[in-house]
Amino acid sequence: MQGSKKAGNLSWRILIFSLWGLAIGTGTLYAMKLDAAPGAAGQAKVTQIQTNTMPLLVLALHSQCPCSLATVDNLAELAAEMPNRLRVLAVITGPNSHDCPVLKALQSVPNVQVKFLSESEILTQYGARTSGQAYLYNQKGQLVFSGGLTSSRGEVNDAAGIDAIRNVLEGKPAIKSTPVFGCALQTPGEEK
Amino acid sequence: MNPTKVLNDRTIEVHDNAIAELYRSTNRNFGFLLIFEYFAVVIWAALRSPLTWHGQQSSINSHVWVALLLGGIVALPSSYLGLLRSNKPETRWVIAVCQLLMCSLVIHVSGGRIESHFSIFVSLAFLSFYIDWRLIVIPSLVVVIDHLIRGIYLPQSIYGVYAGANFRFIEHALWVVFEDFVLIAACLKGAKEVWSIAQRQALLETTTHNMEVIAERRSAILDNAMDGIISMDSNFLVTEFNPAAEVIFGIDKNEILGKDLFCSLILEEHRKIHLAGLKHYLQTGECKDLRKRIEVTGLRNKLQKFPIELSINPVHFKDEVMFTAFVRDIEERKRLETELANRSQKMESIGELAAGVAHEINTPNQYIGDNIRCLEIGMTSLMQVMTEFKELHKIAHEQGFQPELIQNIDETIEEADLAFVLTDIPRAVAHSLEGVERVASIVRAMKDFSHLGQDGRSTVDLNRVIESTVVVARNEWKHAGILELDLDPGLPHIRGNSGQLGQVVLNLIINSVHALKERYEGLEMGLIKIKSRKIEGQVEITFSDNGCGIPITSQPRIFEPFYTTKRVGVGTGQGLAISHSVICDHHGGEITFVTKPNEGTTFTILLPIESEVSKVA
Repeated sequence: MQGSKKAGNLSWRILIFSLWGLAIGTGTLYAMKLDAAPGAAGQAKVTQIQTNTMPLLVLALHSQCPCSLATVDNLAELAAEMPNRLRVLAVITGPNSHDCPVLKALQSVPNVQVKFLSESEILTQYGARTSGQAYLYNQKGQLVFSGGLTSSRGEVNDAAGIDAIRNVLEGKPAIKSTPVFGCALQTPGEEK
Repeated sequence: MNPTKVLNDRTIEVHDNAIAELYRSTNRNFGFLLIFEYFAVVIWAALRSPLTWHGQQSSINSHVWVALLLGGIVALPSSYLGLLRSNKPETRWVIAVCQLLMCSLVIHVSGGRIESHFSIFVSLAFLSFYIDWRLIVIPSLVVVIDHLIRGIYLPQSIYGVYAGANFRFIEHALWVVFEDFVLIAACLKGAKEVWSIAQRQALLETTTHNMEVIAERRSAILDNAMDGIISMDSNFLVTEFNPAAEVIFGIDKNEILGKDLFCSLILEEHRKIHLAGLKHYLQTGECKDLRKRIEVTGLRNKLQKFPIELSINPVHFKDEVMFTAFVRDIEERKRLETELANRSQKMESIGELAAGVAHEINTPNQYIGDNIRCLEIGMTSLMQVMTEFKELHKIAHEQGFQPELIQNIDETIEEADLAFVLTDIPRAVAHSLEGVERVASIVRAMKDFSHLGQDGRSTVDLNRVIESTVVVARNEWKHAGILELDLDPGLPHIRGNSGQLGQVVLNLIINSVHALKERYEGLEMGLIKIKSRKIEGQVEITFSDNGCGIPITSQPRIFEPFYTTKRVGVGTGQGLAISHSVICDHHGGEITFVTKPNEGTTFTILLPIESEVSKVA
């Protein structure tokens, strides 16, 4: 009698622990799926520009995207490492663009020019859909890189995108594109 | 039970309890830690990237939801188990796995931030608190599997890179393995130390228990000792005062503890001598009065003087010198000794008087006897003369010779009642001689007893000793019962002290008389039988009575000095003790008894006849 009660308790425990393990596994898979999906990749509207001797980096940013702060920090580090080798054009959209953390962060980057655009303008003019989208034009004005400058959300580190820019500036072979992880620049349903 | 097995069993019990308590406390700590980690990761996610923007619209960042929901699923149930089911065996396993899952979540939420990987090492270190190497290995496997899967399918969530991390888990796993080696070694060492502590605790408990038992036994001995036992330190301050001492001195233990022993308990003039002696011992290690029984005057209730027997022994404990005093109240003993001495003195005086009286009686008795015997002879001659006178008187009367003279003679004979005189005088003389003989035998017995207390050994006729004593003691037994003698006429003489042996016979007769009086209370005559015979190289003398017998509780003690069951004034408690000493110590014999309450007692004396002397017929 007592033995069967014990066996019953054990079965219940196994069942509860199994359900619990299943819930953890499902939650983990869901979280991985969320992170595995990068933002929509941008399509540069211009592949050749008129430029002077310095390469140009066009950087599309959402004014409130927390991850974009890491993008700016990575860029600032690179600029400090290779001073006067790169011009930056930051195009910002989103609420409170004129007074946002990203704008303040950009002040630490030399040779930076800021443009405030609407979400449709940033799409039509630069083909950017995700905050952190960068386009790098070399000294000849050719588009040589398109993608994100951080290797993970909000991380300040040596990401593949930064490596690509460094390589271009040093005249080395560089990867052409990286995924962009960040907030969507356009409001859903209002994309044109 | 085998002490080694008891010790081992207790070691296992202590070890298991310690491990169980360790598991419980560590489970509870992890319960709090997991809750803390849960709220920390949620707050971190919310602060770091609270919102995801879609142009002008924003929504809560998916990482916040992951931290909130997935973190909740992982942390809250395991925290519940840790806090409220801390004694369940599965709890620590669940906690170990969930702790590493929380690390995985932290890494995930941080977007693979490399610093967040430190949480794994910290967590494994925390898990080593369980000192169970299995709880290091299993979570480590969880870490490796997590790194492997994420490295393949979502490397940015674990390494912060988008690709090329398929084999990066190996490096991370190696670091974990490296730490595991250290932690497992620490766990094994910790487990060994817990076992070692358990062994020491079990040994300590066993030793403590044994010491407590010994202490209780010693305390019981002290508490139940008849003698007062008092301990004092080198400053003569009392540290131990047993109940017997409380009774002897009439002082409460708490009143005397910590105080100077001699101030309250010993008479002042003795106090100074003892103190000087003990101080001398402390200085020189010598004192003639230590380890000796001495008689001093104590103070009862601090006022009343009474004699005590005191012995003080020094006790050297490590570098300290203590003193233990053994005290015996000898007031009653002294009283009895004095009483006995007085009695002995009185008895001695009486004995001397009796011997003198016997001597004085003996001389006149001898010439009284001689004269009576002379009278007897004279009377016999006179009777013959009278017979012839009667013949002459008859003839003169028949022949009418001197009728007036004959008439006067007839009148004189009639007045003198000559017939009666001639018949009664020989009888009176015979009775007088018998009386004189009786006086002579009493005098002889008294002379025998005049040897009491003399130490000389001589040839002793035990039958005569018995008979003499019976005569002397006749006044003691004649009103209590009939005394029968059954003495072996062929009993060999032995060498011994007739006075001491007579004392033994007298003691046993008086004992029997007391037993008869107690049983019959003078309403009925009892019976005392004294029997002597020779058996196998020994002389056996038995004293039987049909008196009250000896109570069972008194039987083991009847030969102890001053032990008596008789009412005050009847006995001193010395008789049987002296008898035992005389027979066993002085004559190498033995004295035993058989008794039945209200049926009687038989004492049996066996005396060796190794020194048997020739039988005097």
